Parts: sequence; C-alpha cells; structure tokens
Amino acid sequence: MFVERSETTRAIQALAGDACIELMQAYGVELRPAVGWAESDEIMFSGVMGFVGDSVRGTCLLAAPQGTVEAAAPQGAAARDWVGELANQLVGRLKAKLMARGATIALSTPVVLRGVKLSPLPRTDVAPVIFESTTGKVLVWLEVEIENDFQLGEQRALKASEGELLVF
Amino acid sequence: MKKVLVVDDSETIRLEVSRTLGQAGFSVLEARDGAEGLATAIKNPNIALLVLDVNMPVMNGLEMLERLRQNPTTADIPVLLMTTEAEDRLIERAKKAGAKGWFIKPVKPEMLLMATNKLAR
Repeated sequence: MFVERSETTRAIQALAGDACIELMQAYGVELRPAVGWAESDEIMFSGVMGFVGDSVRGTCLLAAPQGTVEAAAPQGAAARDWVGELANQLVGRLKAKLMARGATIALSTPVVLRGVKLSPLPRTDVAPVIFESTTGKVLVWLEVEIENDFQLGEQRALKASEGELLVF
Repeated sequence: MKKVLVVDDSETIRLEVSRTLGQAGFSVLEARDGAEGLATAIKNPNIALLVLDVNMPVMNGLEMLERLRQNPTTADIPVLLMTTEAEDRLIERAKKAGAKGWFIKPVKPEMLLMATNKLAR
C-alpha cells in the first residue's frame, strides 16, 4: 500500500534538491538554499513530471521566473520549452539517485504551466525545496507516496552518470 | 553533406543539436517524437546518424529504434540515444536493438560532435 511518509519523503526531497543544484550548475546557474516562498504576481514558468515505480510514485514540479529559466537556457531557447526540459532532466537525475538507493521509477513526459501566485500546499512536516540565484528563486515541489515497507538503501554506484557517453 | 536526424520533444534540444552539427557541416533533419522520426527516417534512408531521445510522447525512442530495425530500409541507420535516463534495463534494451551509443544529458556540444564524427556512417 502506498502512503505518505514524512521521513522518506524528506530524504527524497533532499535528493531532488541535490539534483536541482547539480542540474542548474551544469547550465551555469549557481543555487543557494533559501527559505520562504512568497506568492508573487511575477509570471512563474513550471515544468511538471510524474513518476511511478513499485516503491515510490509521485509528481515533481520545478518552477522559476522567466529570467532564471533563461539564464540556464541555451541561446535562442524559448522559456516555456526549456522549463519542460529542465524538469525532465531534474527528474532524470532524481531517478538515478533513487536507483542508486534501490528504487526504480518510470517517467512521464513533461508538461508546462505558466502562472502567478504559485504556492505549494502548506505542510508542516515536509517543506518544499527552495533555492535562490542571482536571477530569482527556484522551487522544487515534490509530492510522493511510498510503499509502506520500503526504505531507501545504501548508495551504490551506477554504470553511467550525467554527461557520460556509453559506446556499444 | 552527411544527414543527421535528431528526434526530441524539446525544441531547444533540437535547436542545440542542429546548431552544433550544422556548424560542423552536417545537414540536420528534425522530428518531435518517435512516430514523426520513424516517418522521416523511412523517407530519408541515407541518414548518416540518428540522435534519439527516449522519453517522448506518441512513440518513445526505444520503440522507434526497435521499429527502425524491423524495416529493411532503415535497419542499418546508426543510432545514438541522448536522454536523461541512466537505467540499466533501458540501456540494455537499446544495446540489444543495435544502438551504437547512449548519451546521458546534459551533453556538451563538443562531446556531441565527437560522438557524431565517431558514429556517423
């Protein structure tokens, strides 16, 4: 049975946070942990990915203002397309981190939303992951359900990681 | 001029691949999903390399790869997967279907060009 479990959710959120820092760094944006996500009239770009596995399932949203999305984007990219690809790569990195700890998930394709006053559902036990950069804040909002008996295992090495080429 | 087909649902990734390989003298065709990619490959069987994403709508990259291999017109096109996925089971499936390589995003332009020069026929 899948249930919401604060301790494991917090551990998975921490992995998603690490994945976000690494991802944005790979595209030239340095993130620092921040607290507080104030509702704003600034338009936020959001990429949303679903994931499902035997032990873990959920949804991950990556949101940032247009300037932050563009700061991480290749020349000529449209912010709307790029935030979807960033969400895709973020959850790809999260998947690798989960696999290294014994949980395999399958990924959906990303969908993109733009909006104002974006705000995660208030929870006292698991806060969303918030970062700041020179161009604006970044939100990683994860909703996760975990199989009742599942525990994240010790980290093991994977065959390949981000940026690597395997030639067959 | 050698032709490369890039199949990815991200317009930005297609733009980046087209820019990198176009500047290096390749002619680049684009498709947005596996179904469109398959149709483009069948129309252009002289493609020197296919750069293929995995998670895409309509038809994913692994299904497209397996269908390419079943068609005598496209069976020999070299394929390089370029994806966020690092799951062993998916990598093995691509290898079994005759892919030449598996790149885990993000991919630096110089790495993509090196791989293209190595794998393009």
